[in-house]
Amino acid sequence: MRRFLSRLLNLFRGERSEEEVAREIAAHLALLEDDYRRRGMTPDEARLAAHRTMGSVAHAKDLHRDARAFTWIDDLVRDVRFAARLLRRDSGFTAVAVVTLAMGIGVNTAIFSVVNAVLFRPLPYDRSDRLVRIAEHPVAAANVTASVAPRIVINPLELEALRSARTLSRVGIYGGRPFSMTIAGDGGPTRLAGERVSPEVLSMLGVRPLLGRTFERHEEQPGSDAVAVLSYVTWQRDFSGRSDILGHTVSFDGRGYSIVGVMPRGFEFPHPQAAFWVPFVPASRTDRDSGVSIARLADDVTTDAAAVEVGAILAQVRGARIDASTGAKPQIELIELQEELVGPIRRALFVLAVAVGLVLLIASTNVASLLLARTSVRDKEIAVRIAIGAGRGRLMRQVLTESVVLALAGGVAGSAVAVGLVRLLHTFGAALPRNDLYTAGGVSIPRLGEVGVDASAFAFTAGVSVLTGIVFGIVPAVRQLRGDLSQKLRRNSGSSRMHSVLVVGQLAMAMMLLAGAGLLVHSFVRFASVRPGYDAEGVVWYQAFLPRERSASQTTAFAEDLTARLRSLPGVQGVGYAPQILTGNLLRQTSVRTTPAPPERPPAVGTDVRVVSRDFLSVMGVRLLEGRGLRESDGAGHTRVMLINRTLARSDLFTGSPIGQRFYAMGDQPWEIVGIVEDVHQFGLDRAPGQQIFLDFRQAPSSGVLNGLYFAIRTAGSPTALAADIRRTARDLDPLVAVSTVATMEQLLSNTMSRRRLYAVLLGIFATVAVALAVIGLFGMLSYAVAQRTREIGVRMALGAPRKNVLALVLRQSLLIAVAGITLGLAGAVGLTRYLSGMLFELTPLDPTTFVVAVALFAAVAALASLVPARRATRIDPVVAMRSE
Amino acid sequence: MADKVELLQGTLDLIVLRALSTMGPQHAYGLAARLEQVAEHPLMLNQGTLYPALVRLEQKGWIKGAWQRTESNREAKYYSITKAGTRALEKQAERWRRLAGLVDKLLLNES
Repeated sequence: MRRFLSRLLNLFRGERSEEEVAREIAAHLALLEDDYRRRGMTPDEARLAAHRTMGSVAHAKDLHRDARAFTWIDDLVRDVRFAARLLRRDSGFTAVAVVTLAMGIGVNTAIFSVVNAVLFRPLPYDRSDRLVRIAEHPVAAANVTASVAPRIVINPLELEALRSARTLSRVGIYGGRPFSMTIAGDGGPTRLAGERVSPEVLSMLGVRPLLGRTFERHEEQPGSDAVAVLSYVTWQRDFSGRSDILGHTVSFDGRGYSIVGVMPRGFEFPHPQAAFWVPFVPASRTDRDSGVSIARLADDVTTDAAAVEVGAILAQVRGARIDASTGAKPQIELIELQEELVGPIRRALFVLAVAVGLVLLIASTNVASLLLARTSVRDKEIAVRIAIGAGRGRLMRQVLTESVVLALAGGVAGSAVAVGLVRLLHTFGAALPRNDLYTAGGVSIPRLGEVGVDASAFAFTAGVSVLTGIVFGIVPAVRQLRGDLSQKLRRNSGSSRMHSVLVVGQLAMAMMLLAGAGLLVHSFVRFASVRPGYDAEGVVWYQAFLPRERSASQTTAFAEDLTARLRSLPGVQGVGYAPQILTGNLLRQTSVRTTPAPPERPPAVGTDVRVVSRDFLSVMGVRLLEGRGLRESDGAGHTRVMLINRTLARSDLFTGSPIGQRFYAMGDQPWEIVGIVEDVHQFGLDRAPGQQIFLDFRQAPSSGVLNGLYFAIRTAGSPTALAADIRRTARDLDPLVAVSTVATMEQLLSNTMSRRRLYAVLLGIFATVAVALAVIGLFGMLSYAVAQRTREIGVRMALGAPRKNVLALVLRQSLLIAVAGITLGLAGAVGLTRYLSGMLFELTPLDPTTFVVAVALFAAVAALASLVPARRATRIDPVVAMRSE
Repeated sequence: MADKVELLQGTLDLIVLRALSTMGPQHAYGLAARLEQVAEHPLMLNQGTLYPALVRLEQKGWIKGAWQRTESNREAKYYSITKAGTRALEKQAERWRRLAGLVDKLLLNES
């Protein structure tokens, strides 16, 4: 033990120990010399004899050193110093190599950070793998072909029943619709987004509040529900972080709420914008107000077992008779929360990871080629070393050390690249930062806020760098061991075969990436060109919040008044309003039927209900196909009218033209169909529009317009200028109204495309980098080959070979390599693109157009890259060439 | 030239410790010369190979080195045994005797 420590210490004493040893050995030698001289030898003889007795001094020193410290570390340190010196000397080469590696390693680290935060890290709740969502798969009906997303909401009656489940330790609901309230903080009233949660939800997550408590069971009763929990940010920002916040009464939407708790910093549920939590009190006493389900499994219970019990309980609550014709009880599945969140993008992340892996491989190959060219220059030096006794293993170790040092330098630079990329991702990847809009396809990457380049990312970078260094260092290192010594001493040995193989590999990988990126880009273009069914250009959304106490008729009156006034503002071409945005992800469903009473079993696919103002559809540019739109005369008390969309009109509910027919939908009075409108892509451009009906707001005022009204205004002017006008106008009408700008319709539409766009852009960038690197590799190899064969070409030209022949000579080599690379790449692409099929929109993974274009593009670039060295070859002056070595 | 006797690593340590214990502080050259004298056999070592043993013993704290001047006014590093070294010497010597005795007995039985 003492020895070990001593040896460790000696690592750092380095120089001093060497001196000490030298001194001691010199002293020993001196004494020996003295002795021999005393015996009568001449000074020279004495010295020789002394040395002989001593043995090799160097050997003695070696033995001393070996005993003194850990030699291999010493050697390593020396190798590293030597490598650093070499690299600094060839600064041009080093710069190119480091930059190449930085790009390759940097993107890998960035993607690793994403994968780590999104897929690997558990959700920031206590034992988050026990948290589940109760999902109900609709029993497939005969006329439904498209797969429908499972239903994840349950209503309060069902919640009450589930509370007695043995397999669930807790169950709760939250949200259900976008929710915000005007809160009177220290800085004045602000509108903040929050969440309604049933009492168990916050405690179920297992995160202890920073201050106070979360909710208690009785607080979901109306009357006891005037309590709220704040988020850390809200407490700091809107209440100055005051220490007496608990018990403080704050006005929420004009009503006094007592603050009972504050959650710790960093706690987010269910999305980063939730600033406060209030108890979930059903808006109406019916069973209609549902919320998103969340539950915690009891210990040692499997999701399947719990699903069975939940299914049974739900069936009982609904009192459904098992209908023999359509099948059995509800199909319940309990999905792990994290899985639900990240499951859909796992495939995409995998694709991205593979893509950056390929990019790194290509970059490494480039550096390997550079190293090959460089070490062949040092062949002579290496050969001499071997001749005087350096072990081959030792030399190989030294070359590898050089590569690893280079790679680590690339890794350090790559870390910087990664940090920059992640930052870019944060700004570019997050779609509109308003989760309360619940627009489909919104946030590109879930948990994006948690992505950062942290310690594990740096460890990953270090590991990848070392691995990369070894991988691209192996090639030149192995080359050292092979090859005849004398041959090395004489001239450059041709390593062109290995070099060609490397380049072919590079081209193949780049081709695969290009094909994949091409597919994604093509798919995105197709996706973006789907006609949404409305005209997004020039439409801006504003939100008007009314105090809660307004009745339905007051709300309607206000909305109509405001509409009339807004219409007369300069630049305004049309005004419409509705309780939700046109593409908002709210599900309000009914069934269009011939009987007043709703069917006992809700149909698998319901009909979407959109309550709108009469000008809404024309403002949005939704085309009228048949009949008429909503009119002034379709007010309260008049014949109830509805518009249906094309998909509904085509269903087998109608024989003949639907216009004029009467059906039941909402409420107990029938509605007359007066018009058919174009389909609107409600939930993203890639979901086929479902059945929809549109009702006039005055005839069907929504129960609980919890979030105010959304106004859609078609205008030629700027949205911000208009906002001031609108605010003024609204306040003139009603001083308690708050108006805020939401977004333009174009932004919302772009929002639904953000995920696909992100993937297309990312992969496009990677493919471009890969192609560039591969083509540079090709270029480099050809240039090198031409340089090698300078004499040969010179001789040929001197003997009369025309320029064309020389050109052909070089191009033939390039052609061979390029064709081999592209073919290999195509084969790989054909085999691998099937993994992209889930990410493509209306495109097969083997789409011919994409492949043809990709190949043509690649071939063109490769040809261009080959031309330069080829032309350079033709310009070789034969005389100069033959004179050069 | 008489046969050179190969020495195992552990035994060299033992020998050096013993030499220092009886002779008092010595430098490397003196040790080597003395060992040759007493043994009446040129030991297999090149004198340089004495160094690993010295380093080892010094690292274990059994000997201690100090630079001093010889009679002929040359400088040399003198090693002396420490208290820990003396204790170790006894233990090692004991072990050696036991081992030697065992080997002897076995050899005796064979023949």
